[in-house]
Amino acid sequence: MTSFWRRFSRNAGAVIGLAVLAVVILVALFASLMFSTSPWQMVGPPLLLPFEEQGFALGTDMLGRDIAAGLAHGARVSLLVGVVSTGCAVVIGVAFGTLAGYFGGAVEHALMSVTEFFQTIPQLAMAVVLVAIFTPTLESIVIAIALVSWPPVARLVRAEVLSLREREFVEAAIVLGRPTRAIIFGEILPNAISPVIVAASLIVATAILTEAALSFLGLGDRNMMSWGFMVGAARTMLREAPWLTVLPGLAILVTVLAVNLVGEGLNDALNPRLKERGD
Amino acid sequence: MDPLVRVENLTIRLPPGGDRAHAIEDVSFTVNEGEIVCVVGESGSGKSVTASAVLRLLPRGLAIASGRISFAGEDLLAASAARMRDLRGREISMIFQEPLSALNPVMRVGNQVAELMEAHGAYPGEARRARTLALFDYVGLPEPVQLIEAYPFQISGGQRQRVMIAMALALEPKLILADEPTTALDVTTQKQILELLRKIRKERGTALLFVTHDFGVVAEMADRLLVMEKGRLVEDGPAAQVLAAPRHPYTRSLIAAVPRLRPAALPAPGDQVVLSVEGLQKTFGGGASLLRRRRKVVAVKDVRFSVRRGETLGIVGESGSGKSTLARCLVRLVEPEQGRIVFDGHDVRAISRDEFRPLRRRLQMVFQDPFASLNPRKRVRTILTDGPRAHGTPAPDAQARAAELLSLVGLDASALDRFPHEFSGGQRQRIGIARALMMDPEVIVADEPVSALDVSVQAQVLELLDGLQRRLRLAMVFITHDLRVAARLCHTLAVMHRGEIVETGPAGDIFAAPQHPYTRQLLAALPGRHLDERP
Repeated sequence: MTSFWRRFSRNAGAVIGLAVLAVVILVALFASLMFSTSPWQMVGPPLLLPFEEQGFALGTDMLGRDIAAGLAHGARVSLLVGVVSTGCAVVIGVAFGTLAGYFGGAVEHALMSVTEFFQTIPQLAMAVVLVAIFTPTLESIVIAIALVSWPPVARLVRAEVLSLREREFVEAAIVLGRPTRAIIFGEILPNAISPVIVAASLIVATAILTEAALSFLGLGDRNMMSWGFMVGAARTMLREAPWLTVLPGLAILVTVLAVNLVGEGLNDALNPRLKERGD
Repeated sequence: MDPLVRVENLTIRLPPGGDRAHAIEDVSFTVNEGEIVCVVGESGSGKSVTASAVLRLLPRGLAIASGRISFAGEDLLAASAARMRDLRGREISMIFQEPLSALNPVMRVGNQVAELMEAHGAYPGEARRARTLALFDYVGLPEPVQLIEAYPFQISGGQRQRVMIAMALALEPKLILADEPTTALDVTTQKQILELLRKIRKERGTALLFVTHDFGVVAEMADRLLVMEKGRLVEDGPAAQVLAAPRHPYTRSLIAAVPRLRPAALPAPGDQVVLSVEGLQKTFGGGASLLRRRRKVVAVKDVRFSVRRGETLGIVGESGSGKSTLARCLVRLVEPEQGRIVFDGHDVRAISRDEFRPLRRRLQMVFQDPFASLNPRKRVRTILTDGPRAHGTPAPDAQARAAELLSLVGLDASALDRFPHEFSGGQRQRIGIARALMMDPEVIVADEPVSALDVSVQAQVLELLDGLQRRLRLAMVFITHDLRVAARLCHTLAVMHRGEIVETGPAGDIFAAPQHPYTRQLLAALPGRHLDERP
C-alpha cells in the first residue's frame, strides 16, 4: 500500500486531482448543512452578480435562486450518478467479460454479440432514449448511464481474462482440482482488476458528463438540482448573465478533470511498468 | 599486433535503487582480429551489457561511469554519434537472440538486408540485389531468389537467424557481436548456425564476441573465454585451458553444474505400473471456417508408454515435437481426441471432468516458468494450501504440511508469509514443486521444470528432484529438450519427433547406441560433447 501511494503521488497532477475531488465530495456531503433551504427556492433578488450582495457569494439566477446552493447540491447529483452508474457498469462489464473470456466458445460469442450491439449505438443518443422511455428520475438516469457505459469494461475484462486463463498459475489451479468458481474469483479476477479500476475512474468522468448532458436537455430528475440543468436553464441568458452558465460549467470541467487526473495517477500506481516504458 | 577491441577498466552504472550499483565493474579484455571470444555467465552477470557497450547501445538508464573502449585504435567513447552510426553495421555488427523480434515483421527479408547497405551507401543500384543474393547463398539459405521476397514469419527460426547473419555480414565488418544467437533455436539448428559462424571466421577472418550461458556452446566455439560473475570478470584465458583447469572457484562451480550426458546411477524403479498411455492422439486446428480451411496440426500421434512407481520417464524432443501437449493431455489441461490414459485402474479419458477432480490430487504437475506459475497476488501459504483445501483438508493440517514441505524443498518456514516476487527463480521453482507435493501425488508431470533456470540453480533443482524421487518413490514424467538434464534424472527415455515417440528405452542404451536416425541426429548435434568426458 505504501508503494502504491508513493507511485501515485509521483504524479503531481493526480495529487491535485485528488485534492480537488476531496473538496467536491466534502461540498456534496455537507450541502444541506451549508445551504439549508432548497436550491430551487427563490431566496433573493434575481440576477445578482457574484459577490454583489452578502449571503449570495456566487450571485442568483433569473428567478432569484442561490447559485452557490445550486452548485453545492448539484455536486451531490453529479457524484452520485457518476459513482453509482459506474459501479453498475463495472458489475455488468466484469460479469460479461469474465464469463466470455473464461468459457470461450458459444458463451463468448453470445455475450460479445450483446456487447457489440450496445457498443454500436451512440452512447448519448441511447441514454436520451432510455431516460425518455422511463420517466426521468435519478434511478432511470443511473440505469441509462450504466447501460451505455459497460461495453468497454466487458471488452477490457474479456481481454485480460483471455490472457490470464492461459497463464501457468491458472493451469496449476486446474491441476490442483480447484473448483471453477474459486479459479475465477481467486486466481483470475484479482489479477485482472487493476486495469478495471483505471477504466472505472474514467467512466466516472464520462458518466458525470452524460448526466450533465441529460439534465441540460431537460431529462434530469426534477427533484434534484444538477449542474447540467443549471447550464441548460441559463443558456437563454448567456449574453446578459454569462456567470449563470460559466459557474456550473466550470464545476463540471473541474470535477471531470480531477477525476481524469486521479484516473491517470491510478494508472501509474497500478500499472507501474507501463509508466516506466513511457519515461 | 594491436588487438581489434580493447576494453579497459570499464565500469557501467546501474540506476540507483537496484540490488547493486554497477552493471559491470572494472572489466578489461581484448578481442584480436579473427578471434572468437566467448563471454559466459549466469543471468544478471552483465555479459550482455558488456557486449552492447562496445557499440555504445546501452539499455536506458545505464551509463558508462569510467573506462576506455577502443576499436582498431579508435577511442569509441570519444567518438561522435555520427561516427558511431557509421561504425555500426559497417565495422561492427550484431546478431540477437530472438531473430523474430530483431527482424521487421512487415518487410521482406531481402529488403531488410538491402536497407542496411542503403543506410551506409554501399553497393548502389543493381549491385545491391546481387550482393543480397550472394550473402543469402553464403549463409546457406535455400533458393535465395525466392527467399529474399519472403516475410520473416514465412521462414523458420533457423532461416531467420541466417538472415540476421547475412545482414551482419553485408558490409564485411571486422567484428560481430553475437548475444545468445542460438539460445532460441533447437539443438539441431543450433549446430548448423554454430558451424556457419565458424566458417565465417575461418573464411573472412571476422572476429566474434559471443555472449552465451551455455558451456556446450562455449566448448564448441571459443578461442578465448571470459567468465563473468555479478558484473565482474573473474576469469580470462584460452578456452581449452579454462574449461580443462578453471582457476577461479566460480568458474569451477559453473562447469561442475553442467550435467553430463551419462546416465546417473539411480535406484531401480518398482514393478507396479502407475500410469500408462495407449494410442494417444491430439490434433489442433482442422475443420473449415467460413473462408478457408484451417491448418491441421497433429501434435501428439499414437503415443504409448507406461511409468512405474519410482521411475522417471524422460520425454525429450525439440520445440514443436508435441512433448508439452502430451504433458498437458496427461493432466487433462488439453483433451486428447483418441487413446487411453490409464491411471489407478481407470481410463481417465472415459470419466467426466467433475469425476476426474478427486483423482487430480494424485496426478500433479510442475510447470516450466517459475515466474508465471505462481499467482503474484497470493502469499506462499495460500498458494500451497489452496489445493489440499479444495479437496477438504482442514486448514490447520494443510498449514502444517506446507511448513513441512517447504523445509523438504529447502526453503525456510518464513517463506510462508511472503509473496512470489520476493523469491528468485530457483526458489520459486521449489515452491512450485512443493505445491505439487502438497497433494501427496503418485505421479508428477514436470514440463521443462529447469529450462528457465541458470545452470547452477538448475543443478540444485535437479538434485532436489532426484532426492525427492529417491525418498518418495514417485512416478515422474519429465519433459525436457535437454538431453543432459534428462541424463541426470531419467531411468527411461522416450524421444519425440513430430508428435510421435520414435524411440524409447533405458537412458543408458539410448545414449550408448541410439537406434532411430533422429535420436542419432539429436545426440550428434549436442554441443560440447567432449565436456561429457570430464571426470
